[in-house]
Amino acid sequence: MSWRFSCQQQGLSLVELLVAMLLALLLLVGLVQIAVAARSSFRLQESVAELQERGRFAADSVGNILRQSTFTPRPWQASAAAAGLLDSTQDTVRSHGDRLALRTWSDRNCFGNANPVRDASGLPAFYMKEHVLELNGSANLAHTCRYGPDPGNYITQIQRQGLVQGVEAFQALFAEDSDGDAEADRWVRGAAWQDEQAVLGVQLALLLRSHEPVVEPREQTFTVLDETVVSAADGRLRRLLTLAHAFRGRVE
Amino acid sequence: MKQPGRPERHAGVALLAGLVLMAAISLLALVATASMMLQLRMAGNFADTTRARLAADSATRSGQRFLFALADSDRLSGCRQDCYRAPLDAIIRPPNNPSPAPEYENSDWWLNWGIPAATAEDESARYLVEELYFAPMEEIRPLPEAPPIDGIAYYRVLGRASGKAPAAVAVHESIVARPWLGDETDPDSTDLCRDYGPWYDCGSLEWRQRR
Repeated sequence: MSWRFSCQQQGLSLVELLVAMLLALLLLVGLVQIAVAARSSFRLQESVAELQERGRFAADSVGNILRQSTFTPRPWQASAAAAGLLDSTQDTVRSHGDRLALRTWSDRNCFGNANPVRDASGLPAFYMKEHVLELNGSANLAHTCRYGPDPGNYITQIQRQGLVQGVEAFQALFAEDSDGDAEADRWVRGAAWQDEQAVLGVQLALLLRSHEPVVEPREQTFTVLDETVVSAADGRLRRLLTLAHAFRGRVE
Repeated sequence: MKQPGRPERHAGVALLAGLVLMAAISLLALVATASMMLQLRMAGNFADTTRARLAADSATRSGQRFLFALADSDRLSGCRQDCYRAPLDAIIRPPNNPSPAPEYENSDWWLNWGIPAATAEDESARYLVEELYFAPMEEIRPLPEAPPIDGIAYYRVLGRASGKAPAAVAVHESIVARPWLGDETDPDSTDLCRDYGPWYDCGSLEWRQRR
């Protein structure tokens, strides 16, 4: 058997092939690393955007409830039941979860529809509406809404509906005017005020968490108003949202 | 290998591979951009609504300032109905007039019926004033040391403004109490709520967002 080498051979030698394979492997490892990092970054950005979106939704939804609260349509009638914070507003009804309960007068029910019952002038009658915001067992900020002519005749129209998902902590502090000068003098916890009518505003904080693990799993400590929350090392992204709202009828 | 005298032949694989890669990258960029644009629009709408709320607040305050800038002679003493002479009767209206649900009236309606807010830069910021109730002195039963007045009128002031997007509309309602002095007019009083507030309802008592 004779070996004839052509001077025009175009194949690769073993060494060349190994070097090429090594280079290709290095390149591939680099590319995979870049792809993994890009995917992590994409998931992180997606979670950041999702948390921001949930934060905006929470601010808007809770803000809408608070902007309707404490309203009385006929302030010249002293006999009307007072609108404002209810005694069921409490601190720590569950782990890291306060309860905010408000009463207002409204001619619209919990779904925003005009009351079909008419008053003497033929317009939708003003009934009482109660909102309760608290955490439920599935880490949602749950909303309960009752509507009726008086507290004894409420109809529950929204029963612990998950309003905002992935809420790990919900805390509330209340601004109380203790000397009657229409300025807040101290922050108190739920139902710890001396006079409910002297509560001028509320500060709310929500600790939101992403659905999926997207960051390095390690414990984090958050100061959620008056409470310190140590998060689980589950790799989920967390963002703290703080809202402040004045009860406008009481501060102007 | 290129041979002299023969035209070079290309299979076009490089071009095709390049195009496929470009299409894939473009698709990725498009998906990312679409998601970003959605976020941007949502944040924009949120900011627009906030802007409308601030302008509606400004309009409501303009209505309140208007009420407290009136002279005591502008309201007929002890009157319960049709208490304002022209042109004030076109500004201070009876309850639920000209509409029982002004928050759902469109911008043309508000341009027609609303009073332009004095301080707002925004043309859409308007207010409406309705007199809801007049409580005469005998109904109020004030403390013995309270200065005498004719009564307290309760007004509904509605302020409306829109954002850049026509759907971003805010309507705020404020119920305002204003003491009317009547024959007991105090010429030295420059700030009604400072002078009469300790004894009588005065200023904005209630507030809510109507839309």
